[in-house]
Amino acid sequence: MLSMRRRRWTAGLAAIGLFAAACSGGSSDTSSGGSSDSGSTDEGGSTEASGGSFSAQIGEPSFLAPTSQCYESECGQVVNTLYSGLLTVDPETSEQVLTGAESIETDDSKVWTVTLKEGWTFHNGEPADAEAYVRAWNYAAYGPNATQVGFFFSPVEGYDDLQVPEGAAKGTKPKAEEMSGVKVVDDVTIEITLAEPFSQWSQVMSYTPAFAPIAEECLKDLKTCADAPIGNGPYEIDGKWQHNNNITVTKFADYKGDAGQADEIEFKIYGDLATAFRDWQAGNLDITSPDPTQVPQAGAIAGDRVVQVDSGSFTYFGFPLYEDAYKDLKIRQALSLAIDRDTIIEKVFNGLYSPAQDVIAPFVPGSRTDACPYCVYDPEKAKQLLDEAGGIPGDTVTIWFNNDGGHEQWIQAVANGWRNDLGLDFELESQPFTPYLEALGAGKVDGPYRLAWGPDYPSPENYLDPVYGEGSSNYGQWSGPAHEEFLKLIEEGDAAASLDEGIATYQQAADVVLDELPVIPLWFGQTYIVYSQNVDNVSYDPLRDIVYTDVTVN
Amino acid sequence: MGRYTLRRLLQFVPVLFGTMFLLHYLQTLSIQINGDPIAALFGDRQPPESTLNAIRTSFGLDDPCLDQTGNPCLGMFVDRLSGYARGDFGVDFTLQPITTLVTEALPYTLRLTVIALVFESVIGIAAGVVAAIRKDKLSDNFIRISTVLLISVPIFVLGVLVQIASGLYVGIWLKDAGAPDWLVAAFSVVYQADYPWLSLVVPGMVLGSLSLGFIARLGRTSLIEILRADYVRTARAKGLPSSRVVGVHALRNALIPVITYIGVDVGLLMGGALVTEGIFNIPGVGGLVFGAVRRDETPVVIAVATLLTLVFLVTSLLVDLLYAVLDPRIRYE
Repeated sequence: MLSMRRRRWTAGLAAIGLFAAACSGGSSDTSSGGSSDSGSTDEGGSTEASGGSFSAQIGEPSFLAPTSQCYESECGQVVNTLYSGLLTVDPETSEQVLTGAESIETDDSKVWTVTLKEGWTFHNGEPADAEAYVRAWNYAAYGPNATQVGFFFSPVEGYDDLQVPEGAAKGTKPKAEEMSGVKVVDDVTIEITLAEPFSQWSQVMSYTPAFAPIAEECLKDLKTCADAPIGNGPYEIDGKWQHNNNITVTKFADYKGDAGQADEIEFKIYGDLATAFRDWQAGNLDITSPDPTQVPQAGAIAGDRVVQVDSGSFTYFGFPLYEDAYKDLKIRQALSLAIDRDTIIEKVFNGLYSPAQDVIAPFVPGSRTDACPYCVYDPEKAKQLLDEAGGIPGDTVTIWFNNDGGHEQWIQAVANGWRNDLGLDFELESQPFTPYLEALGAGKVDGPYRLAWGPDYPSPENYLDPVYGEGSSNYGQWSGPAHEEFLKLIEEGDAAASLDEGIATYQQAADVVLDELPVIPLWFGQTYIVYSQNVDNVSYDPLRDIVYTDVTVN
Repeated sequence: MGRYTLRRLLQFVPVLFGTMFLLHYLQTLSIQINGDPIAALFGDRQPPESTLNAIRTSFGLDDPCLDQTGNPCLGMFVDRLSGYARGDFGVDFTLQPITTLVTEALPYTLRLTVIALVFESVIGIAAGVVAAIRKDKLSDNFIRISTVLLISVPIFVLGVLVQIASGLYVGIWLKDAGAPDWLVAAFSVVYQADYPWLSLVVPGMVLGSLSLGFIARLGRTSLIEILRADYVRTARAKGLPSSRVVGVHALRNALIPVITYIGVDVGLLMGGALVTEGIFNIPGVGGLVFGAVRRDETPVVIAVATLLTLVFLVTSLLVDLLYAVLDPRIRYE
């Protein structure tokens, strides 16, 4: 459900602690029946049919259709089997792989021409043509539809005309229903004009839930479509979504792209990762992510049937730069240097994070492994810097975090480190997430605050502007000449003529962040997946989650 | 008795309205004090304000009264009640109608509750009777010690232990031994949709185990006391067989506190099964209301909590009426 609206690992973290784990919401059943029917078809399928079938754990998704309501990993996993967008980005090589698009071209990063592959259809036979894509995009961007990913279209010319003006009377309609910047040229050609040049736009378009087409039949009857989505992807839904129970998808015979490997995928819905892992142990489930507390046990059982890769999430401490105590750069450097990231990751997280050496996650093009000079553990230098800066008033740091995400343990570890290495006392200030965001927004936070960021598209820009720039909440109220330089560099990167040319400029912008340290970069998340003997070729993409279409059945 | 029942039924009305208003007010206060729940739905990734505003509007959370701490938002309450009158109970944050959510979750919880109730009453009362008759003997000591154990082990520990034992040891052993599907399903790790009753037996027993301990101890104490009463001595003196003295004359009276406890327990089991439901992956009412409270989904919280209030009211009425059946001295005029 919506509480799962975090990337896989963050969701898992929320379940740390037995009580939370046992209660983690939407407890759900499953027709897993590995013992009974579906179990035997699992095995039967692998011998009779060519592709076979397998099962995978997910949480109850928020929405499957319209896909523009899908902004979390549970629905994203299913949507990525039911729908094909324009392109995907290979997480290892960072190369674009065109799916629905034949080509994506631009000369000036402002006007983009998307040519679609010909002859693609939806599962109901409707053509998945330019019209179908533009229909979906306008639906997503139209303010009153209140879609969750509609803001992906905010760089497009005319997006603002689809929004209800701020402070307008209730029931006011936006000026337009279609973005002026999106034009259907012919059946297979779409021309997108952005309000400002944006070199990373093609990467943005790799987020399938936002950019997938929508069938006319679906838009006419969203209620029916919500439970039985009409997609254009390699798999079609078998029957309908059994809420809190399961979603089964089967191969779509008329798919024009690279077909999926297995014939059938059963997504079994679990409310709790620990329970799902036990069901995996009992042999009723093929692919699952164990609860973080179960990782050592899972590793021992699964042997090499484990995927542990970068998940893209970035955890940091923000500084309230409106507080005098944190205005001095040396204080911020000292606090960062006095965090023993490696030890905390090993002891508290079972090694499931990688220490941050940059503010851009390792899987993103342009990420570096040595960009952050103050992300190492150096207690002597930290103490020296703190003394030079004259210490913190009251020698006390108040650490802010939300207490419903399983963060207490590592926050304690960091705080103890600051006490031992810098002689600083600490106070922990925590509340549930809703009031926590309220306090951040109101500028009530008076010490380092925990936050994390998960990517929307694989571009360094996505780790910069939404966290520190114009597109961010800027809770810490970073301002001044360095911030202006940062914004200028982002603008330059956006205006670059090509994707790659933008990257160098974004790296400079990242350097500004790393020099100024408006945040302490802590660590990047990793995902941990175990799979059964029944399947192979399990891989993970931070933006698509497990790549189910590639999974083969033994 | 008819007039008494009618009077009690009429009392339901103000209680239900009071509950709904109180829940509405508490939820409103929660939003006023903590901030609205929409931003938290997105986790750490905050979308632009315009997106949040559009979603707020679509869920009716843009009412200006939600910015005034303490304002009971009566307008919203009236809107909600008139929606109820039309049969419209609203939607949750994933646009699922509340009626669908509740009707889907309720059967699981009802089945689980029935299993737990049967288990705890049958075994609990039997154990209580045995312990009372054999007071201070070995069997009494055994029952007293084992019930204390049941009461003191937290349900999330017991649940996980039972799950591992039944699902991972017995279940896998049965599967390897080629046991029939229904038997394997009864010892599965999680709920199986193909065996809607059988696969709930183990979770139901876990759920009922705490109450089982209470019922056994309650029944024992109560029966021991009554066995010392004058009328029991008279019955024995008359030469009635011991089974009739205990089974009919003493037990009927001794059951009054037990029935009271079971009555309250029906409501508790229905709303409070969320730990058991979570462990065994059962999509019941407990998980529904827990998730809704966590996400501040006011329509779900009010609908489900009102339903649970109704369950409490009805069971307490039934229990009161049962008193008259069990104890002839009690009369309702």
